Parts: sequence; C-alpha cells; structure tokens
Amino acid sequence: MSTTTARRSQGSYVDRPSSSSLADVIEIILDKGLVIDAYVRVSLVGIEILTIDARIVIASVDTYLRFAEATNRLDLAAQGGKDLPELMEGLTESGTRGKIGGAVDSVKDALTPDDSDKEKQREESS
Amino acid sequence: MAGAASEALDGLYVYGIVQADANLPDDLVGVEGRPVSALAEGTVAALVTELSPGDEFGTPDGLLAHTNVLDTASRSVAVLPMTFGTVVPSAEELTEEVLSPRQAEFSEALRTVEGAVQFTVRARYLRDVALAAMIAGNPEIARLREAISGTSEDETRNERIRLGELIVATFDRMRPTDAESIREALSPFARDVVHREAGQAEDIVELALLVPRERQSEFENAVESIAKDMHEEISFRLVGPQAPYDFVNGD
Repeated sequence: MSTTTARRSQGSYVDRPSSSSLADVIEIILDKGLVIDAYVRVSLVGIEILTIDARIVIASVDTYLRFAEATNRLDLAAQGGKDLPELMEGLTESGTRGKIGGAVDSVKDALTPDDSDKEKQREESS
Repeated sequence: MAGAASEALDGLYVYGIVQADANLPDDLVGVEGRPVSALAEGTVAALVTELSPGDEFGTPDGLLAHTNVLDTASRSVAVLPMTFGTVVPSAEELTEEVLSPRQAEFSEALRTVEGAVQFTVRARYLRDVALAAMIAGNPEIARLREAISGTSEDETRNERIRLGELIVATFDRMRPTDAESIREALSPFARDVVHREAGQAEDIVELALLVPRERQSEFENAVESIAKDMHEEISFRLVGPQAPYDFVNGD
C-alpha cells in the first residue's frame, strides 16, 4: 500500500491521491467485480446512500440554480469581491478592468500554478 | 485464529481469485484487521479471511480493507476482484460450489488481466473558467447573468433556471470532443478501456484503463502530458494502480 509510485513532483498537473480515499473507492469499485449471487451477504452500512449521491446524474432544477448562482459569484469576483474561495485564495482582482475579459483573465491567472499572489497584485495595481 | 468457533455463523470473506501458484505479498491485511490466506483448488485460489461471529462487515472500513487487499495483490499477481461483501459459509462450500465448477472460466479471465493493472482517469471542466468563457461567448448567458445580479433566488427563479439550462447544455455540447481527445491520448497505452458516463454536468469523462505493468510509466507520462496541455480548462484526477475492477465480468 505504501509502495505506490504515486508521489509526483509538485509541478504535476494531475491530482493523484497517494492512497485511495473512501470517496474514490465508492465511486470506482463499489458494485464492481465477480458476483456469486447466493453469497453476497453483506448489506452495505451507510454506503448505499453515498453511492447514489456520487453517481446519479443530476440535471435538475437544483443543478440549474447552482450554476446560475456560480455565475453570480463569478460576477462578484470581476467587480472586486473575493468570493471564489474554493478556487483561489488571495485573488484580488481590481474592479476597474471591465467585466468579462477581466473575469476570464483573473480566473486563469489564479489557476496558473507557478503564479505567486504577490506578483499578481503588483502587476494589477500598476 | 481459533478454529473452534466454527460451529455457528462464521464463514469466509472472499476478496477475489488468483492463480493457485501466485506468489502473494505476505503483508496482506484483510477485513477486521485479520490475515488473508489463499484457498487453492486446482489451478485457481480464492483470497479469503476467516470471519468470526460478531464481525462487522459492510462498513466503510471493510470496503477500504477489501480494496486494499486487492490493490496490493494486483501489484504483483493477476487477481479477479469479487464484488464487495461476498461471504461463503465454509471452505468446503467455496471449493465445491464456486472454485471447482468455475475453474476454467476463472483461469481464462485471469489470463486477460495478467500482467496489467487498472487506472481510473477522471477529467472535469474547471467550473469557473468554463462559466467565464460561456459568459464571454454567449450573449444570452451574459444577459441572464446580468438579470440575476443582485437579486434573490426567489425574485429571479425563472431566469436562473434558464441560465442554468443554457450552461448545462453548453457543457453537453463541449463534452464529446474533449472526451474523445482524452481517450485517444490514453488508450494506446492500455490493453482495454471502459468509458463511464459523466456524473455531473462539468464532468467530461471517466475512463478505466487496463494498463500492462511494463507500460505504466509511459501511461503516467501520457496522463501528465495531456493534463498539462489542458490544465487551463480541465482538471485531471488519476487513481491507481488498482486491481482490475472494471475488467471482470460481473455476471
């Protein structure tokens, strides 16, 4: 288990867990494998529900509202807020740079791995 | 382990099937922290753990132990995973009802996964990057975004639903091309590929790939390379090497 070749240099662009998390395991292996009908005896405690959450395609009103709200937050970021916590810390986009182009740029800037926040702030405040 | 408890409900937990002469790792830790052994019949063997009455299975810990045994074994030997939660009452029953009658079938299946491990690759659009591009590229999306700005969900519910529908439809249009590029880049390194449907709108593809061990580094480099090329728009997650869960018939 600790013999994984998983460890990558920090510059990697691939998210690679060094050992499988429960979420990965559920998504990848639950309900896979050879089945001998008469012998599957175990009822899955607390796992079934998680699976349903992870697997089902939800193109429902909830999904639509979620995406709409996400664009709303993106809008805030373009106007000077810093409201994309899961994406980036310290994104300090100035509000002066128009809307759409600024939003695209700032998001991309923030996602570039070797881009330090300090550099970005200096650049943008000039 | 005290074999005396065998009168009642104990049985054997079955992880999977290996070749009878497989050279197993000796540090396998099974469900409930118990040892794992191989029960051979002819050319095949079952990886099993003896259970005691009162053992708890079907738990998240049990699931992790199940995968850990199979994944560890798969690094050095061919293994066919059983579905999680397979328990047989006794060694005799396992041998007579399962191993013996299905020996030829198991041997054949073991040959198809011999020397290979499974990797799972998931690619997903970076949500906010994708949304920003949609706002820039689709006037109606931009207009609806303006319309809901500063309003509550109740005030602009219809606009929000329409906006969300347009976004999901845009993801649906983008997905096939990117999924195909990713598949084309990675499948040359695999003996077999299973394509799983996307679970969420921003998911592009989930591929299970059966990769021969001698091509593992090449394959990992290929994943890294395509992830680098696409990193501004797409995130990649790579899980493995694992046992070939997607490459056994779950009949």
